[in-house]
Amino acid sequence: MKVSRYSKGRVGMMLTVFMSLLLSSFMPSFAAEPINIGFTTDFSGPTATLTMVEAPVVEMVVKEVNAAGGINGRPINLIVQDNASDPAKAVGNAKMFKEKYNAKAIIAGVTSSVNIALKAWAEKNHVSVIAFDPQSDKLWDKKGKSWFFRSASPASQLVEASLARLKKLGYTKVAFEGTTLAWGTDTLATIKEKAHEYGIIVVGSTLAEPKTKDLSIQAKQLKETGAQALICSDYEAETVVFARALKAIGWKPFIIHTSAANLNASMSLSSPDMYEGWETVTIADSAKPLAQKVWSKAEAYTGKKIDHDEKAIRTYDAISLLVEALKKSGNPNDATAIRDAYYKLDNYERALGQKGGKGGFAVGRNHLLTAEGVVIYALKSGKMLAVR
Amino acid sequence: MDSFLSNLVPIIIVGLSLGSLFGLVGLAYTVIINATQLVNFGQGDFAMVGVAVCWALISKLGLPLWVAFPLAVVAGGAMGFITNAIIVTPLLKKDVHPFYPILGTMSVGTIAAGAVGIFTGFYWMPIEHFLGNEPLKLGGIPMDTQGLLIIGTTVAIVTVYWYLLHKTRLGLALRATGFNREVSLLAGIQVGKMASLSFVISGMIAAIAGVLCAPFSAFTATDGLILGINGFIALIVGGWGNPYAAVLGGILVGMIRALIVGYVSSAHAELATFVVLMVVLTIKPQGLFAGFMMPKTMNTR
Amino acid sequence: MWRNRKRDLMLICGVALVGALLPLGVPDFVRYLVVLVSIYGIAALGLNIFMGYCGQINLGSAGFFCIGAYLPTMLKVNYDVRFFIGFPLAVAFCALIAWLLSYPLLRLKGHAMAIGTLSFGMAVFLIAERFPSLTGGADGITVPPMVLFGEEVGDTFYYYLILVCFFLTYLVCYFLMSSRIGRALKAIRDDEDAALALGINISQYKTFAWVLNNALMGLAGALFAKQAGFLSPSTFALWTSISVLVMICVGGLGTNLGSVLGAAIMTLLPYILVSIQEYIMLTQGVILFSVLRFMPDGIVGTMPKLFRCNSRSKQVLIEQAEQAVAL
Repeated sequence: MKVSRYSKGRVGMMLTVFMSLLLSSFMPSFAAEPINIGFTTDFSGPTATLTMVEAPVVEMVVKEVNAAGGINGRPINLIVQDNASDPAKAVGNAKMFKEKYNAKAIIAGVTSSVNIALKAWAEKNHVSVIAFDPQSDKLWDKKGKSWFFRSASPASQLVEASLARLKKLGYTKVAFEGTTLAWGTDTLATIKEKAHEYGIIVVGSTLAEPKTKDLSIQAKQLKETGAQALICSDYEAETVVFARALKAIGWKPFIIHTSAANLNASMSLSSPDMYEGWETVTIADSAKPLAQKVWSKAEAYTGKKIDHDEKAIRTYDAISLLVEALKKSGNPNDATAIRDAYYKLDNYERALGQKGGKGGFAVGRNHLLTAEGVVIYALKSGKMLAVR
Repeated sequence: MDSFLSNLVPIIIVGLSLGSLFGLVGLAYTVIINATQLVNFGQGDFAMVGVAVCWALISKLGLPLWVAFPLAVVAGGAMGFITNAIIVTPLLKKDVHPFYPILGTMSVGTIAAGAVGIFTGFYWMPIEHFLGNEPLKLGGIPMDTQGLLIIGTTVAIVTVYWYLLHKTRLGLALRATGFNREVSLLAGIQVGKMASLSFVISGMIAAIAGVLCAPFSAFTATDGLILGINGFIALIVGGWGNPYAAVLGGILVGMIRALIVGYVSSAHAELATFVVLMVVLTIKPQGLFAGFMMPKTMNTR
Repeated sequence: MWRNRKRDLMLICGVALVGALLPLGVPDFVRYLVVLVSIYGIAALGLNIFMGYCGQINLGSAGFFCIGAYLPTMLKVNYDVRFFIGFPLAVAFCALIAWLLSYPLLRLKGHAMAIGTLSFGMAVFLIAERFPSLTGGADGITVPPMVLFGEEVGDTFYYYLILVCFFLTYLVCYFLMSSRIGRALKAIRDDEDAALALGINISQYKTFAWVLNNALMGLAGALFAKQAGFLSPSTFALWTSISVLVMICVGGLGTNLGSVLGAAIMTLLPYILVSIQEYIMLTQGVILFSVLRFMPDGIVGTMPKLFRCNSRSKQVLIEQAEQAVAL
């Protein structure tokens, strides 16, 4: 008994010392010479595979800017934090960027749910967030100026482009395959809502669970609906499983995938001949010189082959728009000035968008940094070729 | 009726191949349970390490699959040996919470996943179909070659394991260790070595399961966990401590998943697995096939 | 015994006072961390009752955490039920579900209980993710603001609410564990047969510990919902159950102080390892491994032993700590 009494007091004391040390380490450090920018994305969790491609692009641009003398002589200091696909963690990270590092702007990646949470936080806490991944239509609302921007194309834009393509090719009976996660269910809802405008009937749909290992039963069910064409909205690994299932049941419908980024990754995960004749939609136009430049720069930076699609492009756009906003704001210590600067970036050259490398950028409907058109790509012998 | 049957055939094939995979992982668990009565929570990560080694050898060193696969199996075995040596045996010697050795296996699994994750950047580790993408046509029905390979391998491994367990002196020693540790010690069985051996065998089986599964759906460093859980479910649904029951349990779980996909909803197969497990635990906690091919005494805790 | 308790209570009051005065002088982020540690502290204290004191295993705590978070939120969103009614309802509902589940689950032993609880947790997670009509689906849902007497509740009020909940939980756990019930639970952990021989009603006590554990999980979840402001199923995946378990192991299984300490360490870890995020998983694994292998009693169980052996090094360490604080 004596022993435990003795120890508890000691432990309590240690605890107090430990906690006060910890707390003191979390006090903000002011008077920072570099400009602190928070970067939160999924370094772990189900969508971490995207970060593998995207995070190096952010680093690359920041290094480039710093090597060129930074912003008005001040280097950018990127604070990187994992949010593991968890919106609660992402908001915690944003709080840390703001409070501890005194960051006046944040760049964010991956899932829509993370960014819906971050958007709510940004509107309340007045730190601008620019995101490069989320496609959800739930991210638009709000009249007037927003604190949330994104460079990714909204899912509905791509879905409508897919439907238009199907209409042009004369398909009327279409089935859908997608992920059970929000992207798949949202896309299916958009298709069902818009299909009649394009004279298309949705004859069947199936949702695939993440990490599914076999989809041949589902593929057979879709075949039996009598669909002439398929719309596919699934992540890379599941797209591979689906393509294989189609091959296994010997069915070759016309397929349009609503994410070139995922389809591209699928092709690098398996033999590309499985996707012969598939089409996909993207806003990253390989005919744009800047797009080509970004891909080759990213390849040089990472020393790896990277997919020629919007993953690198939209990330590059987001971080370079942020850099440009910092420059234009006049005062990188003023969060409101940075936010307002986003709205002044009308003619900034960005990789997305099409008009000969210029323009394409506008803070359009609901603060989306809109790209001007969707490009359709067809897959022929393992290559993505633009359909003009 | 005809369409019912034509629907049922692919469902049975998918269920069998998926089920064999889960059963194989369940078998890997059971090997350790037979010798030590412990559940190895790092089992899925053993499989993941197998996949990582196989993928690295193929894509980084350009080795052919038939060289990389055995090396991956060896790596799985080594992983098992290390886990046993650095945490399980030391913890069994101490007087700790009974769940600590199991948490220990989990911590080793997490370290493995974290280390492989740093190496691969948590990116995919794809392995191609062993026999190519072309489906095999049997009687007009196309079948996935990888699925057939998994079914075949599972049958082969179960046969070999059965032979080892029931027809060799080593198997006798293994069974005796799991049945009663103290008495086995008195009988001159090197209990520690048997435990170590069981971990090695288990790691090897897990690695085989992982590499066979990887072409189905590519692995990342953190994907071992869910494969491990499915194997654990197979083992509990089948029967504790009975390797054949674990495989049967796996096949049952695979079948149920395929049936749910075929006749109910494609989006709720995973949920159904957990519900089935809870129902089995409620009505028959010892497992559905607990006595299958094994004397009753082996199933006791 | 009484002096011992007096000292402990003074310590608790001291920490509570620090917590209560904290909002006056520190930035929002530190407050946020205190809140986060308190919420996970409640969860860890709850799990510790069932695992540390009663010696059972629960891998489905995230399921109750999830129910506790979603129930008041969905009641508010769909039926405009006030949070102050929703909170106790969530706790009661978690307790009810735990009580119902105790019939199939608590009959099980060891590993079967582990997988049984795990599958409950996974089932709840999958329901939250795959049934958008029920929970808002994988995209998540924004938690509406909390209203009291027609006014929106501010962060400060909420901070104190969480703090009060935390200290009440701690006190309940503290007194419970030195009471008859606590001793009975420990007896069950140490030797179930012997406890039975002593006339302890094992199933009743186990059920009590299980229900209390999960009711506290529900409370933590309810508090978490409002604090996060946004709910998404991915917060309640399997890893959450495991990490709460890791917290109590790291701090010291079977000690209330250890549970809170473990919660603090594991919660703050990602904020300490800023910008080396890819190492977090490895670090968590290494921490769990080292604790299990080298100090199975956890931090609280091992530290006193360490310091008793070598009082000189203790002196040095404390001096260093004081210097660091002074700086």
